[in-house]
Amino acid sequence: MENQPLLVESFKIIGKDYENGGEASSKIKSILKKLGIPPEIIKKVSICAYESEMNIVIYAYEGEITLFIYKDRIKVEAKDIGPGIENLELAMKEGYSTAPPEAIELGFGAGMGLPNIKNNSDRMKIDTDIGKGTTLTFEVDLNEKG
Amino acid sequence: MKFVMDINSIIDALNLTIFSSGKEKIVENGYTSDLLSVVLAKAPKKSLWITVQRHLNIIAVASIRELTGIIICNNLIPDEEVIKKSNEEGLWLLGTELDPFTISGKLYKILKDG
Repeated sequence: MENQPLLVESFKIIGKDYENGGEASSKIKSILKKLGIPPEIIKKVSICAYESEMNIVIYAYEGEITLFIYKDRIKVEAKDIGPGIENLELAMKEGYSTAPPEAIELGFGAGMGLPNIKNNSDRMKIDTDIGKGTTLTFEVDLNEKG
Repeated sequence: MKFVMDINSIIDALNLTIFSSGKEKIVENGYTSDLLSVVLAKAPKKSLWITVQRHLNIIAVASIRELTGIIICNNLIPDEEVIKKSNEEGLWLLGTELDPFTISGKLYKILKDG
């Protein structure tokens, strides 16, 4: 049984909106700052949130990012309506990307997004449904690990 | 490797244009890449990020990674909105007419020599 979150906040994300991409992560970052979360945790959550958000912008039609703050951890759920991930194993590989040319030109599509989330979170889970969408969830623990 | 240098001496030595003045005065390193996720994964804290990207997302990346600032190369000018956001985030947004290879070499040299 999961304990109740202390705070829940959702942000809508629009596909192909490169201009505003990053706004939700920026808001998440300032919420965590206001709550006095340790800077190292904020950095990890921000990196993961940013990569999740840009994945929705680059690949999906639309989506929503929800921040859950629990006593012992921070959870972010990035849920999109989109094409889904065809080959998860390849998508997890550093350097593999299926980003469209317009994204590559802006410096996205390095094939580092999902690996970055994996490396900066304590748990990561991806549920993907081809032709329907993807839900990515990651958690960062709040306990002090030095 | 980590260095320590004052941002103002770097701006003077490399003749950089200032688009926005940041809060952090210390530069400890540099990082050159145009791929945002690579910077997000690897750029050391308090670095100057050398790039030819000049759109809004570079500000988010630099801010998350706690960089001192960004040097935009090849005489490229960022939009007003990017400069505004950089100010809000307290980042140094700088410009040079030099290409990434040349400015990286120069920055590396002055950081190394002090």
